[in-house]
Amino acid sequence: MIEVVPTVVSEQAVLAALREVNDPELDESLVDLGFLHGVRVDGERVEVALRLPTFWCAPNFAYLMAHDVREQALRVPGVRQVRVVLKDHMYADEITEGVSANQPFDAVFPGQADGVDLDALRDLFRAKAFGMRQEQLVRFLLGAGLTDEDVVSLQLDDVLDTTDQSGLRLRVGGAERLLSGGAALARAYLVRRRRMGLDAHGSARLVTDLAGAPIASGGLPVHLDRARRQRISMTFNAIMCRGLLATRYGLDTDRESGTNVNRREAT
Amino acid sequence: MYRTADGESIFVVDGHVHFWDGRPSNQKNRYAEGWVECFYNYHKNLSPADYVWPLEQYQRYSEPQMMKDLFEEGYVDVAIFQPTYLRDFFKNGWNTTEQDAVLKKKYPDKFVLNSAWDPRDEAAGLKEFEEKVKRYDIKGVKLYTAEWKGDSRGWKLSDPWARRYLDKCVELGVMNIHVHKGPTIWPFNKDAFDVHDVDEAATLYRDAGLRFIVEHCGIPRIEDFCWIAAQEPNVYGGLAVVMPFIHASPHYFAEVMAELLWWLGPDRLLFSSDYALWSPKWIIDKFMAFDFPEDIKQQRGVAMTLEIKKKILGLNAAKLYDLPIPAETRSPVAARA
Repeated sequence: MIEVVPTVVSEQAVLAALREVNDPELDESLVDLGFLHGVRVDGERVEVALRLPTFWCAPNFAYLMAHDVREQALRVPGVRQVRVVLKDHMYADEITEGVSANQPFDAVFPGQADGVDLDALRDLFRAKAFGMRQEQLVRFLLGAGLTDEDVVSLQLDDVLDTTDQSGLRLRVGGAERLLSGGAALARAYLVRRRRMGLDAHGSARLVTDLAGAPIASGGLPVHLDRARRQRISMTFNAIMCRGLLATRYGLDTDRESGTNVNRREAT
Repeated sequence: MYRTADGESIFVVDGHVHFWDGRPSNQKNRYAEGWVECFYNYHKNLSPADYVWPLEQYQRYSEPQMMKDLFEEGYVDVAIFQPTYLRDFFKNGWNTTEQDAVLKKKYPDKFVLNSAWDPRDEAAGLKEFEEKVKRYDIKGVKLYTAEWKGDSRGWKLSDPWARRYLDKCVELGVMNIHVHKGPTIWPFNKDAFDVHDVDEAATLYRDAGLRFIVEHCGIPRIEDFCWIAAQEPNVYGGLAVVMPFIHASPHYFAEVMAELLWWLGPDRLLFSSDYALWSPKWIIDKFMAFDFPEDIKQQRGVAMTLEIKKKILGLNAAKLYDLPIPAETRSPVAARA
């Protein structure tokens, strides 16, 4: 007989898993945004408390995040049951009960979603996140001296190393180059690119449109302008949400680094 | 009136102010409390520390306080009242035409009084709106498409009854249609806070002369707003909520302004403090000292000249509302250089 040793669930393991959950619109980790208020583990049951910047945060976004938190916590080995408690929100009870019972949004708020399901919303913001991260990376590459032609010609396998502390290692026009900085930008972009499900072969272009089509070098400025407008919208929310959360709950906020420092630790 | 170091006078119109009642005695329910808390956090979050009020003062400020903040210290020549009713939350409404009318009557040259309508009030509301326009000589309305009413969680400018109200605006000469399209709060559907219904209405009523001022420039959907505003010459950007970023996040403010100028040009942007969310004094001081940083100048090729600042601070709104512009602000003081 094999003795089954129950997996002991730790708060740290749950927290590490939840780090992967992003606010769909801000494209940043809920943990970094300070939205995660606390995690409590009781055997195979986990309770996660969420709090948002305002009483009025859009219910569909709140639902999406709470749902993602539940899914992610359930992936932690040993976790069987997850309750996500949303605090201080106009629909705190509805969202808490609905998500914890794994009900679809439409069932909890019948007639309110106008047929826009949460998956479509998630796809929309996934695309925006892709565009924003791409713009940041491309502007960095142009600033580092690459030409438009260089940038649009890069293939996935031209990205040689994104883990070097000193910078991003690339092959540009057949020659290897170590750029100063940019590795984190490249990593962030590559994660979003994978989530888009685009061609992952080494010969695929690094910089493409949403459908994976290459950009003509003459078209790069227009492509970047479009991405810039999306980024401006997303940044607005990020600044606002982070600031409002900090104001609401008395956190220290660092607008430059974009992190909320939680003075009151999770209860 | 703002006076520059060179002695030039600048005419200032604050395009969006309130005289609200958020006191607990006026709150109907938990939503009212949440509303006030949310507004107060906006105020605390984006104001310089010296300008943050205690909550009690914020819930209901006095008439002398408002007159001082706008007209004595805040450089404002004329302020436009933009009512927001919220009768499902507040017993007497949050900030109604009737409440604002008291100050308009007392200081007729200082305020423009706008009204509001809600297509869900159908025929009865239409009649009431017409009466209000005649009683108060209304030239503009503020529409709040995300307002709750019973079980309804909002409406669109493309709704059939909204059309009838817009027709009525044309008939009565109410040409300035301010539409709140602001930060992400409460809509269930991502479309409830997008700006595309403005696009349709702006096209439809362009020849009739209606102007659509999108309050808060559609944030957080600036890209959609810019796109629509670029196509529709009768769409304007109201800078309420955008302006205070000049303090909280100046580089970001510069990026937004560059984008707006690039798409809309300098003639269709209206300064607003959104008082008492924020106070015009510090915003205008910072805006007058503002210039685009070098990186944005290079990327976008835009400039923030004194002429553009004058348009944004007052001349654009003066045109929409036919406001008399004081002679001293009309032309620059003869060049001394």
